[in-house]
Amino acid sequence: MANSIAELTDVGRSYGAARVLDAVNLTLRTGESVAIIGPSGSGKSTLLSILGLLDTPSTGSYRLNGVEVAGAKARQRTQLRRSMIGFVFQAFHLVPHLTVRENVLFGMYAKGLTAVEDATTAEAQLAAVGLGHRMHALPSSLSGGEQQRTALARALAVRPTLLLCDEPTGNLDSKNSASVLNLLMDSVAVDRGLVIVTHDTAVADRCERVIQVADGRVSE
Amino acid sequence: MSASWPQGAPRTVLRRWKRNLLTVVAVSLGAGSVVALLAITQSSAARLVERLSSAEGSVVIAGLPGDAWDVPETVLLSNLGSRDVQSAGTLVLPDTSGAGADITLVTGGDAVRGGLVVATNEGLETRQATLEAGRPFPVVGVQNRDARYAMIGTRLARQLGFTLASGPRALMVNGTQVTVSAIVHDGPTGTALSTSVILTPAAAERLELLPPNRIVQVRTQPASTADAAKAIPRLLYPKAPEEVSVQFPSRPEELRRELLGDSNDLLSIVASIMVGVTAFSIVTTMQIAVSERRREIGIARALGMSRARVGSEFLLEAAFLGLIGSGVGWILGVLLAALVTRLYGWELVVPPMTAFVPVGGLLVGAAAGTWPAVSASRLDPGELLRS
Ligand SMILES: Nc1ncnc2c1ncn2[C@@H]1O[C@H](COP(=O)(O)OP(=O)(O)O)[C@@H](O)[C@H]1O
Ligand SMILES: [Mg+2]
Repeated sequence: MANSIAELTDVGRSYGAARVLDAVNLTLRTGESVAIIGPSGSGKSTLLSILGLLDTPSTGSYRLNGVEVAGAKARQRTQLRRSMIGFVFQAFHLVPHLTVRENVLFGMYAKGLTAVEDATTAEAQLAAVGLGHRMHALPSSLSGGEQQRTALARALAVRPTLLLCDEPTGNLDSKNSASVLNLLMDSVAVDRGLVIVTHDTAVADRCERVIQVADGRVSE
Repeated sequence: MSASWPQGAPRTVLRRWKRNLLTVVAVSLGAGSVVALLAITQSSAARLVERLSSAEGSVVIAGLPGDAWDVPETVLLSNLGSRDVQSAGTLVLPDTSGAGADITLVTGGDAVRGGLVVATNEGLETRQATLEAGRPFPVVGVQNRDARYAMIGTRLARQLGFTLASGPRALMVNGTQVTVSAIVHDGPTGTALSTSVILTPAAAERLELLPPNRIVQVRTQPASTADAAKAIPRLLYPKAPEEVSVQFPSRPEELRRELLGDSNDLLSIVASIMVGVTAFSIVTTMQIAVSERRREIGIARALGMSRARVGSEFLLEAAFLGLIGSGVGWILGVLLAALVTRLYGWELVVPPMTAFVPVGGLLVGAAAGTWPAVSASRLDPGELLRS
């Protein structure tokens, strides 16, 4: 039986009067790939932010690796993000003045990885996502798909315990989409979990679990 | 050094060189003007001290009681010995003789008033006075009471239309005839001799113009002036050394310190203004850098970078700006000082303390970077990435 990494109990999130998430109950385990689907504006990204400790629940409990983090201090949340969480953001969030390679190194640096072999890891990861030839390009000169793959390489290079992806194939054609999906599925391991927010049914079909978000609640 | 933001503070600064260039220029102008001011004032003070100590800096002036007039000059001076003493001799200037205003010179009908100096050849030599015309006092004339020898200063000679083209000439001083042997050009340290009539001690006594005290000037090796001054009363007036008054100039370092005292106040005002300007321009630049890099900070924080690390990156960058700016400023300041001193023909003195200017720049930069660094570290990553 796999361990539970993340456990949300009755999690709610409101922005002022708007209640985006109402009572979310969800358990994520290691070795598992989970797709989150739902209409636009239903709160998928909000849920992902809460899981990634970038946002805090207004109500309810969130246990990460068995530790309650719903009311944790910023310092502890940063520390947990650093040690456990990986993101592929919907808007990529690449550093505009750093090259593709430097962006991947930047991700490793933010995690506190500073070894010499990091450069080799970064380059290998870029080659794996098919960007071996664009390593010294700036993000502004990349296509949307290439930017997305850079963001993916940055996330994969640090081998996070919980990888959270927001529409990771949204800008890719079906061929690239399939190869990226292979990389994501390969990253799942006995001690690592994967969450993908997606509109793409082909992506959802390859995940072990599919969770639907609607009206502030989740259902499987 | 530990690894920093992938490119490190220097590269971050270089990457945004346009914005940072202005700051580096501002900081370097500030640091440069402080360094230049310091170096220029020190160089000019060094020059002044050198000039003063080479001219009068090493002369000890000893005031002996009136009965010392009875001792022949050669006997008096032989007591001094020659160690440390370059030259010595009797020389009483008008302000110390107290008789200067009463001198009336008459030659061919013109009457002119002048100062009274009582001196020996040795005294004049010690003052580094030179003879424009004529000859020194004859040896016989110095002690011989019947020989009334005198010299007159250059300006007085011009006023009287007095020349020595045809040898020594007679002149009436306070109604008594004296023989003028020379026209004297004063030494580098003063002009008192040029408007005076110079009498030998014997002539002064004969004219009842002998000053109450016998003043002896002793030129010493610059390094041993103070020691000489201590020994002189006992050597010149053994029977009552405590009655001898001694004046000697301050040591060169003291003189330099005194000279620099006033300019140091000005310098610290200028320096603190420059520190303020430097700090302000670094704060502004770093604040701009923080707002330019909000996204980058947000990304780094979202990926797990700690607040402390974000803050220290900006702190390092600000310190680096301060260091580079003041380092460049130091070079500019020294170059400027070199140019100015060269123009004036002084020797360039770069005060060793200016070596701390880049260190100061680094500290001011870090201090100025504190606030921007703290504000950078406080940015909320979730909020930053949502926009
Ligand atoms: N910081 C915020 N402040 C106010 N409203 C927000 C904020 N973040 C998200 N929302 C709102 O919450 C709802 C869900 O957003 P989001 O989680 O991005 O949806 P999805 O990713 O499913 O499209 C939207 O109506 C959005 O406007
Ligand atoms: Mg979304």
